[in-house]
Amino acid sequence: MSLQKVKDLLAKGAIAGALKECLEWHDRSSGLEQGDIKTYLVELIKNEEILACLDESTRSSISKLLHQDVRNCDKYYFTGKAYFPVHAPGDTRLVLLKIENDSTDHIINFDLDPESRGPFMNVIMHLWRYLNQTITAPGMSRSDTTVMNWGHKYSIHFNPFANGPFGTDGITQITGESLHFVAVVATISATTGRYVDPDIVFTGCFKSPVESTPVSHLREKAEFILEQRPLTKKIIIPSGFFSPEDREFISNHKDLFVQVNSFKELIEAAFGQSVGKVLELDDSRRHSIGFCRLISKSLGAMEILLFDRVGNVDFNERRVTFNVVYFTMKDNGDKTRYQVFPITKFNFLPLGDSMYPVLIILDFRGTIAHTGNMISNNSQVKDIFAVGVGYDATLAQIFAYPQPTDQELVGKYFQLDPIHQKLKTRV
Amino acid sequence: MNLLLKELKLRELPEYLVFNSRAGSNSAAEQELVERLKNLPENAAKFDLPLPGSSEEKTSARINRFRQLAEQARPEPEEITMIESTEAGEDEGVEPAAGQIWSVKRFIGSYHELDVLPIARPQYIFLLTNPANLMGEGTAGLQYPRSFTDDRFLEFLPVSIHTEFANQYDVLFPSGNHILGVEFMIETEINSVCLLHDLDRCFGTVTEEEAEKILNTYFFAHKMGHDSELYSVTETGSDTHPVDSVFNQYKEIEFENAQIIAEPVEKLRMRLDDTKVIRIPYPVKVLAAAQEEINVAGETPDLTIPLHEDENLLLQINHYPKLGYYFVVNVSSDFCEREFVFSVENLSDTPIKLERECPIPRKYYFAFYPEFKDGLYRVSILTGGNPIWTKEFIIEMEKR
Repeated sequence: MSLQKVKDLLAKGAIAGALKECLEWHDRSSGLEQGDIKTYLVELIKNEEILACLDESTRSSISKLLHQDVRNCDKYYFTGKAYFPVHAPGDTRLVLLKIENDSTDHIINFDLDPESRGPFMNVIMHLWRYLNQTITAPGMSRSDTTVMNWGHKYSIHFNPFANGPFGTDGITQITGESLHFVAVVATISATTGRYVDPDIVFTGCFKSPVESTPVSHLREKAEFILEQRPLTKKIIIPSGFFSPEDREFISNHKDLFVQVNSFKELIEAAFGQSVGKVLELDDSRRHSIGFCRLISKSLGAMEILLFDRVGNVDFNERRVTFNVVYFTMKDNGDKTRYQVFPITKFNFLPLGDSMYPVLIILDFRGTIAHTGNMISNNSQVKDIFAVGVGYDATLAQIFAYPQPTDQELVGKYFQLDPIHQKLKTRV
Repeated sequence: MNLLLKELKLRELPEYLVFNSRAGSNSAAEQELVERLKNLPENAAKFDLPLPGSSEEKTSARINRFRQLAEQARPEPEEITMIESTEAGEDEGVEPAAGQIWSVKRFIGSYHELDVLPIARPQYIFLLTNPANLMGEGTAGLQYPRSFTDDRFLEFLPVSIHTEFANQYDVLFPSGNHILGVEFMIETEINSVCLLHDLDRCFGTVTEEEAEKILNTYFFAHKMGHDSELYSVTETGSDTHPVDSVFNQYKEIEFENAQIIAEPVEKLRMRLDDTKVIRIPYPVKVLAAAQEEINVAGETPDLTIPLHEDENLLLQINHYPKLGYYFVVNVSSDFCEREFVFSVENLSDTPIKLERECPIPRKYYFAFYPEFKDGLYRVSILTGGNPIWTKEFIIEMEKR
């Protein structure tokens, strides 16, 4: 039955094949059945994923049949989404990976085989750290935002229709690691708000942020991609050694393939701009990425009154001028868990005279574990760290100075009130 | 044809209407009459007749004009033309009943929007019975149509002013009578039926004595046993006449005319026979707007009520558990090549119409609309404003 054939093709992500089957079904049917088919076509062309696959010939045929223009797809639908192929013996399919925002730890929302889960999460964790290091404020080489929970949930589908006349029972298990590329690209897309061109397909694995590894069955995947997504401009693949058959195929389709080896090269190939440009985010976007983020405010030079405290006695007062940077945490939910380990640095934009040492004040919950983690792993930091004492802290204590020039600073307390007052004037 | 029998058929247009049509001086109602009847064989040739030019023709036209004036002289409200109709008894408060003499509307069947040609000239009838329902009580499952449409009709005997053609079965009323004023006859040999809503104006009621004579003559005409003594004192026409005589030819015309009056009755009967009764068992959801929602295509209905299906048109009502009721209409391109309108109209005193424009022939799903209620509905497919398919249904909904 032809509707079942259409559904079977959609279940493989074979959109062009499904549309072709629909049109041929219409041509060989008559009477009321044609009415049914036209109605199916009207439903199909409401879907952005279907529209993204229409070449001119198919668009023209559908338009003629329905006596209406068929619009182009909304490319912004493909924000946080990207395509990759999967292959099993006798079965090649196209998959759409998409990212949704979610505060739970349910990061992989599809059935990825156990052997593949670890490498996948490894890539994601590297990506999170990479983003924290690479995102910048406009015109700056640094950022003021450190994301502690990205809130990303990855899911997939083959069939653009979850229900309705074209809905099929979704196969959700996939195996292998060739989805690393698409996960990176979709994450960048969701973070920056840039859509992924639906005419670019990705297949590749990462061993590390700077090393990709080849994938298998490239020829079968590429042929399926070209057949089912006739508008495909590029297939982005890893550099490295492919099988002889795949190497020959790449060689015969040089204009089709782009080989990349690192996060940076992949991002630049996917979005057509330097990674610096892609990850340069304005304040509004930068301060809202992820589900939980630390945002720093540089207050410039401030003279701080330091003192020792034992019990209820304050003594050994001294005034020291620091370049003060104050960190707060904002999250979208209630006590969102911190996900990103380890933190290699806290991002801040320096302000003021660099002759003064930088005093980083961390005034948010869960500081100790993270700062201890960071400090113990990064002894190169020259900055001084103080932490708010208790919830709704009014007092802070300097607890770390990895490269001290003044041995007597660690352990000193100071009032947070002058800091809060300065924050108010800086808003 | 005998010239004496000229212009006696009900659908034969009087020449003055034809002439006025050519001169553009008919009223709107008169012109509609001309347009609908002009293609009949008895009328077509009249449109080729020269307009009155010779003195003979002028005389003939003058006579026709006098006849027109005479008919206009009857006591009728000035604003009504000759062929304008009023609702039965509306202006006089007369309920139709046996024994009355009425005129028949020109546009017969119009109340029920039946597809029947109008009549061109006045017809008077004697009501033989009181109004009765077309679909009797015994007709299974059909008490519902009466809730939504008036199916009353009655039997009649034709009334004619052409008393020169009276035979022994025609009861004569002399000139100066209390009903029409001019001499007329009630033709008891011919009986037929008429819809209640085709009655136009009531001219009066015969007396008991007159009614008795009419019925007695009717029984005589139909060999039902009669009182010969009563018949002997009844004013009738003379004996029967040869088969090919003008008298019998006149009766043939009168018989045909009586069948014309009965046409709407038959059409209404067919319509009621054909009208499916659909019972909607679930409470109808109140929906915001009856828009096309073809996502329902993926849902499975828990109830399907077929309304019509052939190779080119499918019409049904589906109920979906979470979505409610939908009209489902599928039209093939063989039936309708381009855009069409799907219309569902409640035929009541306060008609409600659902119209949905359909750009191409295919399958559509239209949700019921919030004003939906019990009633007689006409479902139509229209192109260019004209219906290419139409059917009526009685829809009754289970009360909440």
